[in-house]
Amino acid sequence: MPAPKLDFHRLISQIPEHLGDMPTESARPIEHFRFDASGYWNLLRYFERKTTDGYPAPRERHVLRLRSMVVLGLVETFERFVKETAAICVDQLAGRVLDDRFAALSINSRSIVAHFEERTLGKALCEADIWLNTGEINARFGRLLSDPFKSPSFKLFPEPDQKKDPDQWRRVAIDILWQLRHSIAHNSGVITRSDAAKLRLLRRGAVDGHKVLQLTSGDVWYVKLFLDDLASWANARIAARLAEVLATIHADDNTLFAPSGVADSLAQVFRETITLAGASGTPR
Amino acid sequence: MSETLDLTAEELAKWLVERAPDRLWSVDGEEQIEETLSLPCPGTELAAELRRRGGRLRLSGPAGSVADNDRDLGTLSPVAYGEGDEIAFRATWLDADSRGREWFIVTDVLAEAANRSANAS
Repeated sequence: MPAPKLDFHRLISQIPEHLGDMPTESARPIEHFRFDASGYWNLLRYFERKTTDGYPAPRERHVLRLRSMVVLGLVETFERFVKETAAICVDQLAGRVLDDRFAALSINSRSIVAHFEERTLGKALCEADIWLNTGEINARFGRLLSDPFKSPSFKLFPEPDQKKDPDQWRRVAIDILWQLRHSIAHNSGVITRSDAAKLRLLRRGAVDGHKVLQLTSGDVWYVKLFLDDLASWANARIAARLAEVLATIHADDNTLFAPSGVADSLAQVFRETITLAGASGTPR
Repeated sequence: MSETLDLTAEELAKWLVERAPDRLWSVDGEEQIEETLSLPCPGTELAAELRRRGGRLRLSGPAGSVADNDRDLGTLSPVAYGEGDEIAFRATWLDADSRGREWFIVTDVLAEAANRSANAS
């Protein structure tokens, strides 16, 4: 039977009309992350638990593909958390600093025009960028969260040469996950010889190239647990550093803002207890 | 006709702490809990969040008890689902602002198995 003639132009063009409202937690990046990370894990749990009566061989193929998709979703949920958190930093600092810290973000006329209707400057500056490289993330947060007119001093993640940093393991683990995400997203889970060479350097152990990832459910669970921990850790670090920078700005000009209001605002959005220039905020 | 059981969040929290504190619990379909906790989590953490929220719930189960003989789920036996080690409850809040929307509380046997595997290796 011949394939039906469909008006693909119309059918594909109308896909962007199929939209729902944003969930309310999207204004709080850490909660946005938890909600979607839990959703991805629940998807896998549901499939693995509810399809045990199916045909074993096709089920195994499907579940392997689903595990890769869930890892991809988890890593990209973390990426979104990072960029939403950066957007909050921009919104808190814009109008309170005169230096060139926002040059850390790739501002160009096209992205500004495309985001003209965004509700916040932070989203306009951060959402178009890709945040899948630890070095770039460090550089952007270092610049965003520097003291006014000073060189960057804050590093969200340890640098690769800081071997004795107690958080170095987090850096190595997220670098491995960025690389695995690349293989899943761009090569359908194939570890090319070039991917294998990069992974070998990151994990300091042999990796076979020209192979396909075959993730276990345990692998996916460990990715979920690690990213849960990493998001909470990064959230607390960024919140504390942002409060420090704002306190420095306030010390220089105490007419710019009332610390109590800003501390409260940061506490609600980061879901952390915040201390800022003698004032404190607590999540409600 | 399924069984139903109305109880307070505090009563469910008490049950979780007393009967299944070390099990890993997932929540599916309750957005406020899902954004507040890293799920699945131990019963003690879910209990703390339920206590923080307060309110009343209705648990709905299958007709008759499905709890097997090896598992004493106490007062929640008539509304518990689950095969093998899994325990699941169908829940709705009875409070006015979130009444009627169904969500699930379920032990996450997949995560539990992964944890056992990680600890064994």
